[in-house]
This record gives sequence, structure tokens and C-alpha cells, in this order.
Amino acid sequence: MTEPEWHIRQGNPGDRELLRSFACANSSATWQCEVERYIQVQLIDWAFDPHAAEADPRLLLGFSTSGELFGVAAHEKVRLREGNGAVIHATKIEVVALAPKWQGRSFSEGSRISDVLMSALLADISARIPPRNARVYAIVHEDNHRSIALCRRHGLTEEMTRPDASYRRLVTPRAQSS
Amino acid sequence: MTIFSSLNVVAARLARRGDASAAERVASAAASLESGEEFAGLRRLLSALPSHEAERVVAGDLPADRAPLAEMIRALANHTEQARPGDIMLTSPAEVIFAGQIAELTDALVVLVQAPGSTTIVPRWMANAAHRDQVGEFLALVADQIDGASAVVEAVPAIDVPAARFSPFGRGDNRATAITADDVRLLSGEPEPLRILIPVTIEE
Repeated sequence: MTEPEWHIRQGNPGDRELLRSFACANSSATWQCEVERYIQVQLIDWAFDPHAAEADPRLLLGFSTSGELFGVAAHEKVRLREGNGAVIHATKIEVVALAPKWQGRSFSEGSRISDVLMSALLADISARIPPRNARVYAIVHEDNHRSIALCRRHGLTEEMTRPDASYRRLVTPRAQSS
Repeated sequence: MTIFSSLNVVAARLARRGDASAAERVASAAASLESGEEFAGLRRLLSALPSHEAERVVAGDLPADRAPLAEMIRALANHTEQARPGDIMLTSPAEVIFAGQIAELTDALVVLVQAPGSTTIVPRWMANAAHRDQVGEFLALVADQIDGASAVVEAVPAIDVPAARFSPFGRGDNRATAITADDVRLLSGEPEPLRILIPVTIEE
């Protein structure tokens, strides 16, 4: 069995400088720049905010065999609240981002790099103890067609109401038998 | 006159409910707001006013010729709302807040519209006391239930705060976790198991 061409590890506070240099925006689209800026400046503080430990925030970093940071992903548990008080437990995908050089590419054994990172994220969610609710959602800019396709490939096939005119919320569906 | 962020009240209520972690987080956000430029600007503008006029502003009566003050208050309201914890319900069933815009007036009543189809009627003298008795002005009603058939209702002056630009990141924007009744229906039932396409080991 061949060794994978990647390794994924949990982020730590010492990764601040590494993330500061991470780039993922390859156009002048404002929403792409916002993702990049968020990762560079705020993601570490989000992941290790001591006041937010209850939400179990998780930061994952993907590296190539040469040690290059190719992707960043993060998630945490949230409570979705309806105005009349209904509460639904879920996991919010905070961010999934690939460096431009790795976008739209596959590893030599055929796995799409984006699928590896997304699989790592979902595997991490499913391995949390205590178990997370399998409702997983992502907020994606409506022009981010690649991310929308990525979410759909990984089972985020339903859509909630929009939190904003420009953003969509994709979520995992209910089980067939439910 | 001493001005504090209303987030201190939120923090105190969280602490009273035993949620020390959330209380600490909100108190920290309050301290951050109070030490910020906008709060300093608000203090500066209020201290420049005659005391009776400053008291009127605090009571909700914003003079039309004080645009910088109104802008400062709106900016602070926006930032306060962003810092308010969206994952924590502070409104108990016994406490109801209805905030809306005055749509109609009669001699005795004002009609307050929260959203299309969501309307209530308020005695005009209550709206008067809150310095809100003109069509287009904003008013909030805070009701505390006393028992099954009675409540205390307070009319509170409100202002229109334009929605802040949405950010899908972080924990600051409640819209990221706010859902509707349609969403609740969509999310009801057992979720499908997660679809993991590629086995991946994560190093801790």
C-alpha cells in the first residue's frame, strides 16, 4: 500500500505565522479575499478562543509530502435558533480553503485535493467525542461554484434559508427512513 | 453622567443563569466596546451637550440637528448587536420584546408594525412618553409577564439600525445561526450519516 501524498494535522496556536502567509484567493472577488483575510488574521484566535471551548472548535491543516501547506479547514458545533425558540444542534463548517496552486487538482493516485480536505473535515466531525449531530452546514457565497459543488459531492445537498442575499446555506439531509 | 454598554446587563443575566463562560465572554465584549473609539466619541459628544439635553438623548429623544451623535449611537448599536451572543437565549417566555415602526396614528393609539402581518396597537400616551409618536419612528415594547393574565409593558424608544454587512465567519453574526420555521421543518428528523469519500487519518 502506498503512502498518501498528504498528511492532515490539527492546528495549534503556534501555527499563527504559518496561517498569516497562507493565500487562497486568486481573483479580485471580494468574497475570496475575505476568506483569505479571515484565515490569515482571525482563524487562530477563533480556533483557540478560551471562551469558545464549549463549541469544540477544530482547525485542520493539510500538508503535501514536501511539507507545503495546501489547505485549511475548520468546524465547530453550533446551536441553530429559530425566533420562536426552537433549537437545532449542528456543526458549522467555518472554512475550507485550498491554496491557488492546489485548486482544481488531484493527487497522483486520483483523489481530488479538495475531496481529501473535505473528507478530513467530515471524518474529524464524525470522530468527535461526545458525538456531534450529523447536521453539518456550510455558508457559501453564491458565486463560489466550486465550493457549492464540493459541498454537494460530500452530502450537503439540502439548502436552508439564506442568511444574506449573497450567501447560501447548504446542509446535510435527513435520513431516508426518518 | 456615566454611560455603560448594555452588554453588561446581558453579561449579568448570563451570570445569574450560571453560564459563567458566556458571561465572561460578553463582559469582555462590553469592556472592549467601552474602551473603543465610538464609546469615547459618544461620551465626548454627550458631555458637550447641556445636561438636560444629554438626558433627553439618553431617554431616546435624538435632536434632528445632532447627526454625528445619531450616527455614533447607530454605529454602537450595530457593534453591540454583533457582540450579543446569538447562541444564548436571554428572552424567557415571560418576557416579550416587540420592536417596530409606527405606521398609523389616532388620537388615542399608535399602530406599530414589526413586519408585514406582525402589528400591534399601543396607547398613544405610552408612545409619547418614549418620545416616539410620529409615523415612521421606531418604538419597542418590553413586556414582563406577571401571571397568566397580566404583564407589565414598558414602551422604550428605538432607533433604526441598518443591518451590518453579513460575515459568514466567526461567531459575531447571529444571521449565520438564525433559522426560520421552514428551516426547522427541513432539519427535523434523523440526519443522514456523514458521507466521507476518502479515508483520512488526522494527526493530533
